[in-house]
Amino acid sequence: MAQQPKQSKLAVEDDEFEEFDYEDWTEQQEDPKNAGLWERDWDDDSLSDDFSKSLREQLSKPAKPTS
Amino acid sequence: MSRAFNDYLVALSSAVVRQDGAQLKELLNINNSNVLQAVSEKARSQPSWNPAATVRQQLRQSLSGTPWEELFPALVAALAALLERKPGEAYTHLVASVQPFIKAFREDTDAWLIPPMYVMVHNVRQVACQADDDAARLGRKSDALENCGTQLQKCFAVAVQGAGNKSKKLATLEIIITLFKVYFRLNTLRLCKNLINAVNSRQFLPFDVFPASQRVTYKYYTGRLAIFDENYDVAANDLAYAFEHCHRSAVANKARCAYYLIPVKMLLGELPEQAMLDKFSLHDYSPIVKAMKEGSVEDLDRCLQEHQIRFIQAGTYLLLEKLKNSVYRRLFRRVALLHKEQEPAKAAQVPLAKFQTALAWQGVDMEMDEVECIVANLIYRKFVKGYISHQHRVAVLSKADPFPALSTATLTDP
Repeated sequence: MAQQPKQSKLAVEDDEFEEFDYEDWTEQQEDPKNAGLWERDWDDDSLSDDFSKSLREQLSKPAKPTS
Repeated sequence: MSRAFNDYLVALSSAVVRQDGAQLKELLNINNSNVLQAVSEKARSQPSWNPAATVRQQLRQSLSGTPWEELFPALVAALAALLERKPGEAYTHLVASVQPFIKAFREDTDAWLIPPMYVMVHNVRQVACQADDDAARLGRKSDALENCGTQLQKCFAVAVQGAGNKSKKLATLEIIITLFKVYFRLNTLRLCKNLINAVNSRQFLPFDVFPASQRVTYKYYTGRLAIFDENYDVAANDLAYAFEHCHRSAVANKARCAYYLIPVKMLLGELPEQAMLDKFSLHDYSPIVKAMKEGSVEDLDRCLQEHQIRFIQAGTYLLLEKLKNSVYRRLFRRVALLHKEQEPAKAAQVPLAKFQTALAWQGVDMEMDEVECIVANLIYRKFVKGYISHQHRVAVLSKADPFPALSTATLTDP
C-alpha cells in the first residue's frame, strides 16, 4: 500500500556536506553492506496489481475509432 | 592585563616552536570557544586596543623574521572583528593571514602544517560566507566568496607542489573539497573540472591514502557533478561510494548521498526499497517509485509538478524528468503483456491503439501519430527492441529480449 507521505519535506534541506565529527574511520564504522536497500527485479511480467487490473479493464473495452 | 589572552599568544608561539600541528590547528580555529573567550576578554579590558599591533608587539621576540609574525596579528584582528560582528572586516584580516601561511607551508620540510592548512581553508571559507551573507542582508555587494576561491587555489597550488616533502600533498584533497563547496555555492561548477583532473592525474597521491571523511566528501561532489554532465554511470559509482563509506553516525550526510543516488539508480533501473526511503525520510520519492513500478505516467507527472521547484533547486528535476521514458516503457510493456493475454497468436504485434487507450486512461490524450512517435523514441533509445509498422499501426516486438534492461538504454541526447 502507498504510505501516507509524512510532512512533505525532504530531510535534505541543505545540499552542502557537513564536516564529519571524525577525520578517518574503517569499515567497522560504516553501515554494513546491505543488499536490502535496492530492488532490481521489479520490472517483471506480473499483472496482479491493482494498476494492471484497471488497465486490463480499459483494454477490454471495445476499441474506439482511432485517428 | 588579560591572562587568557597572553596564554593564547604563548600557546601559539609554543606550538610553532614545537611544530605541533594538531595543537596549532586548534589554536587557529576561529570557532574555538577558548580562543574567542580570550580575545573577547582582552577586548573588554582594553576597549581601544589595536589587535594586530598588540600581537605583533608581544610576539616580536619569539617569532621575529618568521611568517608567523605576520600571520598571528592578522588572525587575531580577524577574531576581534568577528566578535564585533563585522565579518567583512574579519575577512580582509583573514586574507592577510593566508599569504604568510602559504610561505610557512612552502618552507615546511617536516609536513607538520597539514592539519593547520585544513583549518586555514575552513576559516577563510566560513568567514567569506558570513561576509557575503552580511553584505546581502544590508543590501550591499560583496565578492568575498569569489575571492575565497582565489585564496584557496593558492593554497592548493602550494600543497600540490609538495616542495621539500612529498607528504605535504596530503593536504590537497581537503582543499579541493573546500573549493567544491565554494564553487557549488557560487554555481561556478566548471571550475571544479581542473581540480578533478588534478586528482585523476598520475602525479597525484593514490586516492586511498586520504582519510575517509575526505574521500567520502570528494565522491559526493564528483557524483553530483557527474549528474550535471549526464555521466550517469560515474554519478552512480561516486555517489554509491560516498553513501556506502559514509560514517554510520553521520545520518544527515548519508541522507544527502541517498537523495542524489536514488534518482540516478532509478534511471539505471534500480529502485529504492521502502526501508531506504523511510530510513532517510525521502518520502518525496515514494510516488515516483510507485509510478516506475506501475507504469503510471499520470502519477509521475503529478509528482514532478507538485515538487517542481524543490527538485529544480536541488538540481534533480532534469534527472527525474528523464524517468518518463522508463515509465512509458513500463506502461507499454504491460500493454504488450495484456495484449498477449487477449491475442496470444499475435503477441509480438502490439496495436498502437491499445497503447493510445492506456495513455488516455492515464490522462495523456494523444493523436495516433504522437503515440507512434513515443514508441519510436523508445525503440530509438533502446528502451524497447522492435520496429513500427506505420501501415498497420502496430509495434512489432523483437523475439529476443524485447524489453532490455534499463541500464542499457540511451539516457542522454545525441
